[in-house]
Amino acid sequence: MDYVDGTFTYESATVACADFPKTEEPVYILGKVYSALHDREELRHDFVSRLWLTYRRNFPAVGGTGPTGDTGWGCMLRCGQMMLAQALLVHHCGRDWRWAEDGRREDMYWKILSMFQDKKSAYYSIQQIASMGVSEGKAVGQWFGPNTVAQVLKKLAVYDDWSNLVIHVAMDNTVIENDIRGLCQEGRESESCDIMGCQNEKGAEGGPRHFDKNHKLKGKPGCWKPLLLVIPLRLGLTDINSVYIESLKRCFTFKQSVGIIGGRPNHAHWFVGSLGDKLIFLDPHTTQAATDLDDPSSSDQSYHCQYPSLMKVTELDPSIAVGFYCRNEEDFTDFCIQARKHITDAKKTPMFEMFQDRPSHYPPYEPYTGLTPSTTGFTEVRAQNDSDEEFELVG
Amino acid sequence: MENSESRSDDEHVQRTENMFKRILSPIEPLVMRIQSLLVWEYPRKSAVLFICVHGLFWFFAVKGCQFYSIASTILFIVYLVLTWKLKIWPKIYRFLAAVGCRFYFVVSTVTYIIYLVQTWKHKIWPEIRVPPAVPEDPDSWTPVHPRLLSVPELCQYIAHVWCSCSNILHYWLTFRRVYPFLFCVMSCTFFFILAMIGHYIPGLMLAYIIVISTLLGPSVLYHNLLKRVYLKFEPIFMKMEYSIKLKNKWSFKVPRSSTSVVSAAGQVEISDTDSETDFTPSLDPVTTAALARAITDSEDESLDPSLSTPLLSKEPSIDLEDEDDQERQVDFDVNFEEGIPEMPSFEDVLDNTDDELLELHIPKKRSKHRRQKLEDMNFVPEHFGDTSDSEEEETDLNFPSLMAESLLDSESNSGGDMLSGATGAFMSKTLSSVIGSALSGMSNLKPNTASTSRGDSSNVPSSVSYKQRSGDEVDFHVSPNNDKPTGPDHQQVADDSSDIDIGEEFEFLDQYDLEDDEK
Amino acid sequence: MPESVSKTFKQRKSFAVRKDEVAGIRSKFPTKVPVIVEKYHKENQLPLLDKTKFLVPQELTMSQFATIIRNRMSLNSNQAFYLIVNNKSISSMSMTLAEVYRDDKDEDGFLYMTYASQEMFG
Repeated sequence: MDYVDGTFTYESATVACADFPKTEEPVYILGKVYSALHDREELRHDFVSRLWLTYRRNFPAVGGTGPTGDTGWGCMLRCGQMMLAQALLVHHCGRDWRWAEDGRREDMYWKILSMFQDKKSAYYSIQQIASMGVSEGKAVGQWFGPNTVAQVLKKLAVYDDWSNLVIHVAMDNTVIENDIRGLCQEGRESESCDIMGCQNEKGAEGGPRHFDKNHKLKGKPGCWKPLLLVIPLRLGLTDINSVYIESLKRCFTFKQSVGIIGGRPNHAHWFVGSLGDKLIFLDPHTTQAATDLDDPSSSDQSYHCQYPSLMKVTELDPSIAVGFYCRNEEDFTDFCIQARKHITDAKKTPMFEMFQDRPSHYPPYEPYTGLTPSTTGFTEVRAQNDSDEEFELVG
Repeated sequence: MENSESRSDDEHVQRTENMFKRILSPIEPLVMRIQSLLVWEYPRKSAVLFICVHGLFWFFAVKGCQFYSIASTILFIVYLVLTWKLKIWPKIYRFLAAVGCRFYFVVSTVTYIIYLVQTWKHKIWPEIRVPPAVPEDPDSWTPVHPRLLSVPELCQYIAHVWCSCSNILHYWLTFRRVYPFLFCVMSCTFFFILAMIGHYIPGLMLAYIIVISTLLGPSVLYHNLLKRVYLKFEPIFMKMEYSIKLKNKWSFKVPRSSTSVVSAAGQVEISDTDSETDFTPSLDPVTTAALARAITDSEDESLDPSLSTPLLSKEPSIDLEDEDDQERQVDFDVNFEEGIPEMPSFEDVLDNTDDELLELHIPKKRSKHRRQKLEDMNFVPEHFGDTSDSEEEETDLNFPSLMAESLLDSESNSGGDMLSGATGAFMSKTLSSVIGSALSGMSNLKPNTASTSRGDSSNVPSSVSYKQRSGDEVDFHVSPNNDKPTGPDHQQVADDSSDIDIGEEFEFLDQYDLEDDEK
Repeated sequence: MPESVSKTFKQRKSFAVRKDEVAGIRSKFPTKVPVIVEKYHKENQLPLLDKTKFLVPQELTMSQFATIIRNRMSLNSNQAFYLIVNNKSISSMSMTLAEVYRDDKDEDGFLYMTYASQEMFG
């Protein structure tokens, strides 16, 4: 298996390949709580079910001529992929879905996984993300920050009609509810929310949850695009400010949580949970060979990590991005209530803030639609013929 | 290709921006102060600037001994009173006056003085002075203002404008080279237009307009004056529009001829359901919208005229017609004007007591409904009652006869067919509420209400009201006496054709305006 | 790079000079807060601000001030920008500068802010 053969770690420090420590404290994994003593099997199964996307080598070159491996530069891109993959898994399969470790091919899960394989045709492949990064001012091979990868994924999600997911990146530590509502409800005015209209024409692929939305009438909460809310933050200059640690750990208790992308200085991780004063994460700094998931004989073992990694929360680099997935309007409203209760209103200096309306001094909100406006001003009137020759009458 | 062009444009903008930043950054506090003055953040200071600019402007504009003598006298007084610094000013003033206050001379002198000062400050003085013991602070305090433009932003905008202008110039030069004849024609036309403007508007006036725009324009934007003025006058506009609508609505019901008022009254007795069906088919979206606007008390003027709004008004005018919409439409399209001369004939039918009832009931009901509908509007409903009462009285008198006429002269039209399918649902719902309230209050006003409702459903009043709104509303806010003089004209129009004739409507409007002008 | 440019404001001026400066400006403009805004030394994505010393109306919120600084730098709305007060806290965006000044002012009387975007990871 590729997972065994071609694996080596990029991690400079010792890799924590141990199992979950046995402790009385509860373990929070993406909104679920487990006991480290009594729920070890469920905890392990939940953790191993998360999609683990690492460095890969020998994939088709980015942009045709670019690198064929992302070792050393792609870790934040991989972490962004992991957070998005979690959002898609929850969206299509539910939070309670677990990985069948026997290699069975479940359609929905396999389809999601295929969107992240290292091929240009996959919506969220490393090739697509690196290429789209050029529009954010990042050349292929340049390191990304959490905000950059969130902006890139926001643009890529526009083209994914199957998931119909909308990604909102909240800037300046501020979440503006009405912006999000307007973004998610865009489908209401423009399309009729008939039985198929809410999601897409291929509604049949959506599964039962899509049909629930589609059956609802126009104007009702049914016409709500699923939302992945990413909040890039900087919780300090060089070290994380200790006032934010509680709020950070609290984020993993929300049922809408899809983790936090951040890491140690220069090393990106995808944090999925907390245990005491430690954070549980998945580390992409392991180079594996690229796999072709369209091949019927391929295995998905390399996409799941058996052993959790833990690190102290104080070692966290202050540049992070917190992610939340809201399936529908009730979910979003519940998230707003929880966030207000535990984060924004609880502390004098909250981690981020929530407003109902866009403050007047902000520029108007422009959601990304995937259409690039023309940047040409005047069409240059070029002199076709600079010569001043005139026809002379001969004769 | 496009990418490289846009990149070079961006570079050009960046370079221009840097150039302006170099000029403006050192004087950022001054720039902010100027902006603050222009937007009238502190009205007193801006008023002083306003007066000074006016003084300067008219000083240069008006050549003449009168101004000179008055000004010099004032300045002489000032010279006598102020300190030795101000003794210099009258000398400069006399010098300038001696050379004829020529504008260009003054400009060039000022420019020369600025150049001298700058050169001294930056080049000469730093060389010849003794260096100070403590190095001067290269950083200056930068004022921050949330609403004014900072120097980098200002430079960005100026750079964009500058580059756009240079692009336009480049474009025109290339255009001149490639299409010389066309360029010649276009530039001749352009300068001809400018010459015409200059011929009819004096240069002084143009200069004054430019100066005033510069002094007052930024403050209009900064304080959102247009929006504030609109919000302040919105109740008045609504009131006027409503009264116009009422007038149109009532005047609609003027019939073509003053025959068989009895039959009209008889037909008025028709049941609610019939009136519903009369109203449910809307001729087209415009008709429906106009109908809603004419009837409804909800003065939601933002509604697109093409939208069909439910008839939510409780006005009695909405009820009651059992005639076909087709007939009504035809009649109203043509009869809008015709009915008006007939209005006095209505008095033959109704008692004066009806007027009293109208006075009592209709305005109040309307105002109540208005209160319900328009939380946003700040106007006082009683205003409506005050001004529209007289009109309503007059129009109410005339309506039954008008209605009768239109009823009798019904002709087929395809409008009814179009209407029936589209608006049945909402019309029935709103009409039931409207009719219920109207009928309950005004059972003895059915003839009037019938006529008014008939007027509402027609295409003509809606379009007329629409035009009225876009036109000079004040003109339409006239006493109902105007209706009578226009009657004969309308009757002629009505006799011509039964089709919807927008030209006739315009004609009517023009006449209406003329009537007002005459008054 | 010239040494003077890389020096921070505190390095360029002595404590006494800074204190006098604050005293002078506070007496002239008691309703304005003297703020020093400098770039984080490891930051290389954001442009350098042309000015360092700002006189900010005290009723301005941190959010408004951040927007003003953003506009000065002509930043894209998708670019991350954070103002860290006194090298440690983000501080609530809806706090006014008066409150932030009261809580986080330096001993010389200035309010120091550092601006940065986000770290990059590879």
